[in-house]
Amino acid sequence: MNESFDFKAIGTSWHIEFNISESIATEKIILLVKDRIELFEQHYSRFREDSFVGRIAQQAGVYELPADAENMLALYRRLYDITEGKVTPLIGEVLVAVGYDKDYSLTPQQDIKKAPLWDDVMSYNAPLLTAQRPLQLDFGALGKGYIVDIIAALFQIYDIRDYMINAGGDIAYSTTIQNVFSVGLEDPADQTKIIGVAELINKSIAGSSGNRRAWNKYHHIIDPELVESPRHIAAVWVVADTTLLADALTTALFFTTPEILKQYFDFEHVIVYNDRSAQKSDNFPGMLYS
Amino acid sequence: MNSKKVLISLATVVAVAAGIIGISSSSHNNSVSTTPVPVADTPTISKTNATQKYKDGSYTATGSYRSPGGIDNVGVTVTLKKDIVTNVSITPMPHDSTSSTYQHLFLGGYQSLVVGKSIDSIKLGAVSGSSLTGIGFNDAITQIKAQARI
Repeated sequence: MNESFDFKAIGTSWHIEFNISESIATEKIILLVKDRIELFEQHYSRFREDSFVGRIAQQAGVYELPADAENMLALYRRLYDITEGKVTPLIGEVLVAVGYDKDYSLTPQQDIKKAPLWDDVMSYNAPLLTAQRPLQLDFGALGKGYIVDIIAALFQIYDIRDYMINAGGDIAYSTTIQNVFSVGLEDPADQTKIIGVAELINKSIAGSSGNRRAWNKYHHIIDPELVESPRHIAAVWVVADTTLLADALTTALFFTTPEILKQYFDFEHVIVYNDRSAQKSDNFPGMLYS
Repeated sequence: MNSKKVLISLATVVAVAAGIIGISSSSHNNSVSTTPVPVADTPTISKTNATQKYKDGSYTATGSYRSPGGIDNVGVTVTLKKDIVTNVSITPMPHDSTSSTYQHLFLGGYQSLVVGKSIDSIKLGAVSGSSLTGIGFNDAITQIKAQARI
């Protein structure tokens, strides 16, 4: 691919490669990409008071959400049901309570409550979200993957069919010439090493490293009911058709089994457990080192 | 980038954040086999008790992480008092870079223990793991723990 650019947004490093298109100038597409990410953040950032998420956190009411919210909330609801409430956008309240707030106070509140149950406090019928009380939502389990897909869709509009969009390890890859794109699977214990490789052709991958150097009750995935982080998994990768799904399933795999998720979704995965034993689905495109 | 306006991937930071909060807890495997021995010239800290593991004070460290464009850094300053984090600030220091069916799916899916190979040992288009910024933050915190340990 003959064009590439790097930037930082939504708290991560982006690296994008693509083949130049006749229908749009490279400079123009870079601007569009950045603007689109900014819009996503304006809508859904937990750290902006004027975002939808920020407003819902302040006041109960009925909110008409942007059209792109539906893909996220619909998938959240499915995973919420499949995982019996473990994957939930309502984890936002817990994240704030443990100190992950917009000021990085990192100071846990005295009394950390479990996340509320979806049907007790919220309903969603696209495009309307009804909050029975102020609700701190958080789309972190799938938001990064989703914005990668949104950028991929933008490329398609401009007839860019060969691209690689990498937002901090969540990657969408499209190729018209069936070129393999190799992605190293970072060793959860040592970032200078990889424990395997995924080989993508027109797929997305997302990864999540769970207990990396977490030495208390929390890492970035928190059980909404137990209010502590699952500890049995060191790292997970999911390969799927969309980055949204890949990202969301990495979180879901901390709370349920791949066998259960396989009944609902088409994906391939690698799980590395805390003892460094690993499970790779049979059709995972790639290999592990052992 | 406006470091405070971080939407999503900071999840990893929470992790660590919550982790540092827990420095004082005796939780888990960061106890090195050496037993800390009180040293005569250790500055007297008010009411240092026997279980305090870190010296009070402010510590700064730079964590680095490998982004697709090269090595990036993040600066982390932590203030510790009685093993509790009382303040944290984070300074990003980015560099400009150019740069099947269900039934039989999982039979035999378990692998013996994985081993890490050097990231440079194979040509890769990208690396996927924990969130990059979080990695830098984690590294900085690890350094701070080492600096602060009594």
